[in-house]
Amino acid sequence: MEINLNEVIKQFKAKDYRHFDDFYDKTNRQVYFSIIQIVKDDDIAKDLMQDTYMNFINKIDQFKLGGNVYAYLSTIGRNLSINYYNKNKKEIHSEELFETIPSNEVVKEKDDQDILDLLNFLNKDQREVVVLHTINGLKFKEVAKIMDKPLGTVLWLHKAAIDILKTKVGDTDEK
Amino acid sequence: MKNKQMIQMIKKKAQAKQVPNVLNELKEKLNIEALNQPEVILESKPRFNFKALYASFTFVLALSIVLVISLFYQSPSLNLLEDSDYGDHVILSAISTTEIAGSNETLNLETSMVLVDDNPEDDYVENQIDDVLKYSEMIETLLMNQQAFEKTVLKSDKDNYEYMLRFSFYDLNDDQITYTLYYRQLINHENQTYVIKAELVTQNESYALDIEGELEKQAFEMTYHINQQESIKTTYQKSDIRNEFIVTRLYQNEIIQESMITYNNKNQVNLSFIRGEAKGNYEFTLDQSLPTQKGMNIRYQINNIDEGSISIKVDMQNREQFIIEIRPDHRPPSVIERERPYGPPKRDEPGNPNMPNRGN
Repeated sequence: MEINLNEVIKQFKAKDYRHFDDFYDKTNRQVYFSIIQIVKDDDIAKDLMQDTYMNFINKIDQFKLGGNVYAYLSTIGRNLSINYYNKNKKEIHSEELFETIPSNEVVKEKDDQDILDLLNFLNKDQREVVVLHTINGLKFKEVAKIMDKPLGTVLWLHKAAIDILKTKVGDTDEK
Repeated sequence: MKNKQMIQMIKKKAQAKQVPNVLNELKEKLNIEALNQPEVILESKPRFNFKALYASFTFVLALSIVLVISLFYQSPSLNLLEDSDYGDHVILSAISTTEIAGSNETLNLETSMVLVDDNPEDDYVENQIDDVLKYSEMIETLLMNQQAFEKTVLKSDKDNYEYMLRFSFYDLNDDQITYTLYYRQLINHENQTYVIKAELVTQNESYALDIEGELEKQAFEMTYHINQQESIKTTYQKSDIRNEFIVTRLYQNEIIQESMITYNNKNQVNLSFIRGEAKGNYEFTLDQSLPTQKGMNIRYQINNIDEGSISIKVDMQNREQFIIEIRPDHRPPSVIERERPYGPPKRDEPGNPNMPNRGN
C-alpha cells in the first residue's frame, strides 16, 4: 500500500513512530546517495545515515508539512557529510574522499559497473548534480538552492556530466 | 546514446545499488519497540440489541425515502453532459485534474537546514517548465479543436453509473484521442442545482470526480480527492466572451497551489500561476509553420525578471517526447527535452497504463 509521507510525518510530530519502517523504506536510498557521493565509504555512510534520520526526527517540528521530504533529507545528509569531511579531512585526505579527480579510464564492461564507479568519472560538482537531480529526483531549482549555485551553473553541470558519461559508457550501451 | 538513455541507465544502476540497512539501529535509537505498543483488540460478544435493530430499521426507511425523493427529482430527459459547451469544459477540467493529481506538490525548502536566499534565477522559465507542462495537454486540446468535441452517449456498463460518454478530439499529431467518462446525475429542480458523480477510468486507476453547479449558470465546480488530506478543485465559469478555469490544489482545505487558464477564443489560451511554487504568465498559440509537425508557441513573462518565448514540438523520432526550445529575451537560448504528458495514443497496444482511455 502506498504510504502518505505527510501523514506519517504528522504522526512523527506527535511522537508516533508506528510507520517509521515504511518511511525508512521510502527514503533510505535518497539519504544514502546524498551521503555516499561525498564520503565514498559504506561504513561512514551507515553512521551518517543514522545521524541524518535522528537529526530529522529530533528537529521534526522544523519540517513544514507539504514540503519535499526527499529534498529535506538529502540536504541533511549532504550537510552532515560535508561537516564530517571537513572535520576529518586531515586524516582521510589520502583516501580522496571528497575531491576525487575524475577518472580517465574508459568503461569496457558497462554491466559490471556500479553506479558509484560511474559517478567517479565526474568531478565533485557534476557528481552532486547527478545524484541530487537524476538519482534523488530533485528539481534543478532545489539542487541550485542546496548547492548554493546559480541555476544556469547547475544546468550546465548536469549537461556536462551526462556528456562525460555518454562518452565513457555510451558506446557500450547501444543494442 | 541519447541523453534520455544515459539518464535511464544512471537511474537503473542507482536502483540496483545495494544500500546499507540501518533500520534496526535507528529503531533502537528511537526506542520504537517501547513506543509502539501492540494494539489490543477487544472483541465484544455479539448480543441482541433492540435499540440497534430499531436504529437500523429507521436508517433503512430514511434511506428509502431519500431514494424515492431523489428519483422523483431526477429528470429522465435532461442529460447535462450532452450539452456541447458544458460537456467539453467538464472533460477539459477532468484532463487537467488527472495531470495535476499525478504530480508531487509542494516543494518547500524554507527550513533551517537550507540557509540560502532566493535569487533571481529561481524565476527563470527553466524552473517553471515542468509545472507549465502539466497544463499542456488541456491547452493543446483547446488549440487543436476549434469545433466542439465529438460525443457519443451510451448506457453505462458499470453498475454505479447511468451513462457512459465517449469524447473524441485531436492532438498535435492530428491523432484522434478518445476519453470515456462514466457518470450519474442528480438534479434538484426545486433549487435549480445539480450534482454529478463521475469517474474517469484508466487502465490502472480511476478518478472519481464530483461536479456541482446551478442549472441556469454556465459554471461548475469539480473536485477530485487525492486522499483524505489533499484534493484538486477546478472551477469553471463563462462570461459573455471569456472562459475561465481556476485550478486549486488543497492540503487540509488550505490552498497550496492555484492557477488560472483563460481564453476568449481557441486561438490563444493564457495560463497564469497565482499561488504556489510555479510563477509567471504564459500565452499559448498553435504553431502551424511546419505542416507536418504542429507545435505550440508560448510567450511568457515571469515577475519582470525573465521574459521570452518557448517553442514546444513533438519529437518526430520519439513521439512520447517534447522538444522544447527556450528563447529568453535577455539570455542565451537553450533546448531541452521533456516526456510528453501521457504521450501519443498507442493504437497497437491494449493500453498505456498511464493514459486515460486514449486511442481505443
